Amino acid sequence: MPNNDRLLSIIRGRCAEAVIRTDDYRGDATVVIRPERLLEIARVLRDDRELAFDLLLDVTCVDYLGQQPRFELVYHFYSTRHRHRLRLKARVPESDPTIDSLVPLWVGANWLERETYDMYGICFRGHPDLRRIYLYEEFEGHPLRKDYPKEKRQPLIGPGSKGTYKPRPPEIPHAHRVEGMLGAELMRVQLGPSHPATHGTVRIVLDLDGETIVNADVEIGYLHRGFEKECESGFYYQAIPYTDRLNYSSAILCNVGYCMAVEKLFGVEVPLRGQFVRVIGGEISRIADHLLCIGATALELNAFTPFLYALEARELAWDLINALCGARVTSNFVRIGGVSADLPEGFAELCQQNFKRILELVADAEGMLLENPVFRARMEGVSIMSPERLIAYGVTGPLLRAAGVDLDLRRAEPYLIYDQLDFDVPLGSQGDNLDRFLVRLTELRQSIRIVEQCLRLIPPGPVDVDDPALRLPPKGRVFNRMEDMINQFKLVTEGPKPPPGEVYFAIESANGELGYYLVSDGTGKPYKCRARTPSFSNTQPLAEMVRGRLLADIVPTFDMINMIGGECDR
Amino acid sequence: MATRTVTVQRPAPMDAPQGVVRSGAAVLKGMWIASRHFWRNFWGFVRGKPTVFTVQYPEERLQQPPAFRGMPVLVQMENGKERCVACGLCEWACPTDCITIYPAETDDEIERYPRVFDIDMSRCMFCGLCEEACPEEAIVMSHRVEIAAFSRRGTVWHKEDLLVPLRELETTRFPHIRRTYESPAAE
Repeated sequence: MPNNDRLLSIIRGRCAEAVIRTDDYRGDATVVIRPERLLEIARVLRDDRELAFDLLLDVTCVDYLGQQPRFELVYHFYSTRHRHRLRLKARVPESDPTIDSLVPLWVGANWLERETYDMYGICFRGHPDLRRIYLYEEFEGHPLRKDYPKEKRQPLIGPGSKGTYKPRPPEIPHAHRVEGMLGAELMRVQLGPSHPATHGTVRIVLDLDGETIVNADVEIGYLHRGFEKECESGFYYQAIPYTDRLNYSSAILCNVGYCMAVEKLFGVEVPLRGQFVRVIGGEISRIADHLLCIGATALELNAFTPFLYALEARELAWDLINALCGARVTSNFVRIGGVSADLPEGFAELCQQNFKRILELVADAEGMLLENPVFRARMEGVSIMSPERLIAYGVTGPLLRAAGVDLDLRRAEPYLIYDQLDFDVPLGSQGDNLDRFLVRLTELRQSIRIVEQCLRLIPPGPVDVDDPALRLPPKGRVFNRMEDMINQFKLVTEGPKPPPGEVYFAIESANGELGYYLVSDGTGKPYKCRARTPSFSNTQPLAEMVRGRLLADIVPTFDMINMIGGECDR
Repeated sequence: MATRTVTVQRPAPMDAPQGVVRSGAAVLKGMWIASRHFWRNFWGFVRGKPTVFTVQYPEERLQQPPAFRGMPVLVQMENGKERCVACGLCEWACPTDCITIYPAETDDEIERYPRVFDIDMSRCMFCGLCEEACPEEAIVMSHRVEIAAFSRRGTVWHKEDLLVPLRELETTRFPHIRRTYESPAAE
């Protein structure tokens, strides 16, 4: 475990007068600072050799309605060199909700700050392009503020409505505007929102000079459905089905992350067998996710047959998930304090049988693709980005590992039982699309290896914690004992009530670091439930990756980023 | 820690002149793989043991595992009545508020019953939290999934539509419930 005391004393030493207080709750180091000193402290955090916080994971805000000052900006940092984490908080008043932008230090802060502006109305001084990111310009109010009612209706906009709608051409920030090579005007092309060669609803506005991309602007938010607002209005356990819909191709991993964050708030750990079952479910999900990514990439590069093989393999992985939790996509498998069901009978044999066929099909898909000259020409050497730049964008997961950075949370900060398992973390050497593809292929095989080990090592015992404050008692006891009946009623109608406090917990999901930041005020509903999703940060560098390349290079790059709409737009 | 890092092996670059030969070989290899799949499926068809992965729904249906979560239904007891006592826990637990219950009382042995029990299937997301919350094992997930309707109103299922005899559930979902929730067999 990283030494938080030492970390906090270094920060206090470096910038003593800017720090208001520091604390260390449940292993999360937190520093509260004066908002006007943010930029200065952030520079120290990034550049100091002992701190070296090079990865800005998340920017968000908590609305403490009724308190002064009202808004609390929350930043999460990670150091890829020292493997430690830090949370930075600064309060700004409602009358002047302004704070310095971190874009000059971390380019990845751009979208994160736009989202905070969109949802809370915080203004970032010095931000190059402070527009709404999910919602449309005519939207009234900021939906994640506590005084914004969930049921509020927005006026209709569009042609024919009474509002102030004016159709306007999409604008790109024209920092990179250049004259075309032939002296002609650039051509504006809209890729998406629903394009056959991009999986996921996203619009990319391109300025083309011939076939070369001069400017690109990625527009997201077509799948925004208010995940955080919805979580804040329900009990802790009612958010679990919603986490399924973040990354819908690996739902169990999203469940695991959320439930472990809530357990961290409580300070409990599930029994060993429960941890094994979570790893098994999560890794099968990861297999399904990588299979979809590989298959869809093949399809969008016009290779239809490998796509069918990969999807057949994914279907087999989904059959395993179906046997485990009763649904293929929306698994809703993990519970706070355990899992919804133990492994079914004969699950090990079913796994063995399906994995054998999955490996055959993956080998077939791989055999068709890797030597294929068309596939190679579109993948090799395309969209290379340096590891430093990727980290500045906040990219994690296979995308970062393909650039040669050894950052896999299963290895860096082993959670659950990953420290007892034996697996390889694949790294790329050049960081192009081919490396990204190969990293995913290797990870898929390693996940199969992990599940096989787990099935061999899994101990007998309970899967759930026996704690009536967290987990529903078994039905047999509810029928026969009054206390358990009362517990059942209390837990369903009031929800589990964690002690007041805040935690951040991250797992390695199929696309990178999936973190949940939860603030509890002691009631059964989360005061703030924030999901730091990898797709959001990973999609951001797309514009820079494809700038100066050909139009056709967007498709493999976008595929390898593997943007999942549900996770990116939440 | 037993993990280690490995660098992925990139295939050799496709430079000419070997690249041309390898491209040709890749085409042949692709055809070999595809035809192997074809012959496998063809022999499966000839031998009457189809290996084709797709299922011809609705003529053919998959055998679902006991854990399968279809639509939530109400358990109907031997006497034709529901087991539900209208406590309202499922209504509390439902994240999408798709359940509506109006309780009433009778002179029967179980004196409370739901006068109205509606589930709006267009909002239900088959998450199964109602089944978990139910203290009577009266609302359970079934293996039924066909909820299509011609109108919005048709997606609201009333108590009479939701009642499913215990006999049918005993062979589908109940084995999973008994195992997972450690509940005793029905009386």
